[in-house]
Amino acid sequence: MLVKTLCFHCNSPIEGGPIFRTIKGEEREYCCNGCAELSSMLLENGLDRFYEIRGGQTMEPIQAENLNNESVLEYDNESVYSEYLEKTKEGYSGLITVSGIHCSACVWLIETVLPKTKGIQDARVNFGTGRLKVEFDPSKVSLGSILNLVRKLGYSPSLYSPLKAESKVEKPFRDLGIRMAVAGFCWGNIMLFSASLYAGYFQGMDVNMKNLFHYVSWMLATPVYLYSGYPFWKGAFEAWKHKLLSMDVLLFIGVSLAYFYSIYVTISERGEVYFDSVCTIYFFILLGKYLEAMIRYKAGTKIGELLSLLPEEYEVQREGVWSKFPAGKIRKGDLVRLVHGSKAPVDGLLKTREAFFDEAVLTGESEPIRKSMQEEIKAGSLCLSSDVLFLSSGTSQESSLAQIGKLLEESLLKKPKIQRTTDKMASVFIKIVLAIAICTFLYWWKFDSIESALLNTISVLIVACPCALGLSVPAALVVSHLLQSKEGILIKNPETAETLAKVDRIFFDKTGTLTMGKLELTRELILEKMERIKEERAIAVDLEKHSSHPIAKSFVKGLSSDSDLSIPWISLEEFPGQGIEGKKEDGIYRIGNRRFASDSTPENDGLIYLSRNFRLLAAWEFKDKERPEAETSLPQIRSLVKNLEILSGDISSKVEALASKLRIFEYSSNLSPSQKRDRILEAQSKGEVVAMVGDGINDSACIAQADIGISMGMGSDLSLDRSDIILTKNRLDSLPKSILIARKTKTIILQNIYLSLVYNSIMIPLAFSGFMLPVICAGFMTLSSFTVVLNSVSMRSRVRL
Amino acid sequence: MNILYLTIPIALIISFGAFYVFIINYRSGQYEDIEGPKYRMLFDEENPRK
Repeated sequence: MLVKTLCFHCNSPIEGGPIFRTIKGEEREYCCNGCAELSSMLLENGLDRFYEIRGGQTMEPIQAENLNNESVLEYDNESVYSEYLEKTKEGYSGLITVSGIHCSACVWLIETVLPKTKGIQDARVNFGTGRLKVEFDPSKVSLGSILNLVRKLGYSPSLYSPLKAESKVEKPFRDLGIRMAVAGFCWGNIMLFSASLYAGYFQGMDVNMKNLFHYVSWMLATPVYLYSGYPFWKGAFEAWKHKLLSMDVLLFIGVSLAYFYSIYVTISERGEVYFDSVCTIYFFILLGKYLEAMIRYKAGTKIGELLSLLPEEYEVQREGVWSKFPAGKIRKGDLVRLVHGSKAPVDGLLKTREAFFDEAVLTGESEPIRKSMQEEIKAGSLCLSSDVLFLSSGTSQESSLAQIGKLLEESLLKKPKIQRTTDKMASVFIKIVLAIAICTFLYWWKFDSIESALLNTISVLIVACPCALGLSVPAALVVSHLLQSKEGILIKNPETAETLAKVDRIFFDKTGTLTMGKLELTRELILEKMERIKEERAIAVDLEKHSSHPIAKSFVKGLSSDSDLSIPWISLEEFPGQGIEGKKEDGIYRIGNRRFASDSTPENDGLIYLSRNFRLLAAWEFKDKERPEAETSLPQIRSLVKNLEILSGDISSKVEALASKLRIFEYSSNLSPSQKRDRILEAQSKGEVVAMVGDGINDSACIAQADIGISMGMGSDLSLDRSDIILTKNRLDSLPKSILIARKTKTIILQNIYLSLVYNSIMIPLAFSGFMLPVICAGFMTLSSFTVVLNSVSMRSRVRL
Repeated sequence: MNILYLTIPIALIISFGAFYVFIINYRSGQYEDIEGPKYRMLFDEENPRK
């Protein structure tokens, strides 16, 4: 077999005939026009270094449409500039999300080409987020032309609004990071002095030295108490205002007492200080909060990207007059015209006979979806046909896409249910502790001195400090989050872990979930003369190239290797849902399902047929392969959850074959999305806790209905809004691990709560009766927190598969 | 041991200084892209940034 030549630009094997270009006296081979175009542009401008930096990496071939597609969108108006850009001294600066960055060469290319354009002052790509920060002078270059330039380099840009996304999620996150850093820094330093003080307590130490250490500790604890502890004292005061006793209140009172008593000790030079406790408690609790926020923040930005719709202007008919409006100004009842490649700005009803849409933003499925007249179009779906008319059913703020955004924000603010439970426990606990503290004080005051009364009261309060209880939930959740994300599991909402641990029944979608969701050519049938197969293939591929049907893509990919003839069609017509017809000198060719190709009424059998003048010439069969890891991970899932069930819209023979292979005994086929949902409702009405695993194609409704919605893969930008869990590695074997971790997390949280309660119920009476000195109490308190943290960390080794 | 009265404040001042620098850098977003610099240093810059 011939070794395939590699495309000079994208380094992928050239399928079909290569395209030759002579650039600067050297002949080079390319896989497609897009690559050739871009490459010649690079070489002619002396940017050869791109290929050096790229090395042997393979890139996605450039889509020629990308290069020739002059922006059809309007970016250059005041509202866009004010919404998406930031004003700087010399112009504007904005963030552009660039998808399609593969390697350092891409970054180099963008960073080199852009600043060469007049008016662009600086361009920098963030490797981590794939965002381009560009500064430009609007009088010399427009935003639209910058976006076009990026598109011409072979990437897909979209605007990213820092005002929208960052201020809401990023700023609190960054603040929390600094608070934690301050606490951590001071904690690290204060422990050095504390260790010396502890040693001094047992071995004796110079009074002056002890005082110095006290003052230094005071200095280190103060920023932690005031700055790092700000969220807690704010929380405590808010709870106080609403006459609630939350965890924050107890934490705040405990820490405050330790802090102020220590100040008293430092000044009066009598007793021991507890400044280290202040830092320890705040640092560990903040660390937990920070890690948790980081995980949610990552999920949040991913969704934020999905929601950053391009601002566009649309041709709108209002009261019989056509005019242009930006997306935000569209009202209910407006007739909107969509051109090829624009996104629907609002929800609405289709008024054109038929059109194709890409609903990747909403469902994750980037294959075109056919919509017929009066069908609902969701905001954010990409129009793939041209000149589509639809009737708006609301403003863009009311659209489904905006709703998703709201849901997301809400979920980011939610506290896990179990956290609320511990808050409730704490509010009971704090009342008891306060009562005991008062009793202690009165008792010792009456029968002993005021000094021992104060000392013992503080002992009680410190020993009862609920930090172990406060840590019990966050510590376990953090470890669980870390474990989950390491396994490629993204949990959007902390509450999910609890529900996941209780799941009784898991529903699976078939295509894309149990199978790969990629159609592969498996069989080629020649129905007529053998020798013409090459020509027939070429005709078939050429016809399918003109189709926007999902199968057409796989078809072109699967067969394209030996055909790049361009066939002189007299006319071409697509019959949506059936096939495509082309007229040539020697007859009418049709490709599509059997009924369409032969123009008679035989049953469709899932094959794709090519016919000339309605006589069948050849047929091709496409198959979907099952996921390679399905066979090993399904028994694991079954050992955790007894009831598994397949819900599929596919024909029954295929579902049956897969079910028996994977030993799933319950399955149903030929289901519509709403039937699938009914099945889930039925299971739920029996009191089962239900999880639905899907890939978002048509499962959004089911994923939302199930108690736990699980989506496969992050790459396809799934219906993230609907699902609670995303298996980012796009592998089924993450699922059993996720369930196992969730169950373990629940156990560990309960253990932690018991541990801290048991500890308190032993220590408080001891402190009450005066057996404990505050310094020993602080030691025990730290011990209890460490027990809780260690117990949580031990989850790592306890989750094994 | 009297030297401690001198060294402890010095050590604290130095470490607070370093920490202050860290906070400034953190706020200005220098730690946002920790992937890029290792590649970027390999690029030849024809027109160094201002």
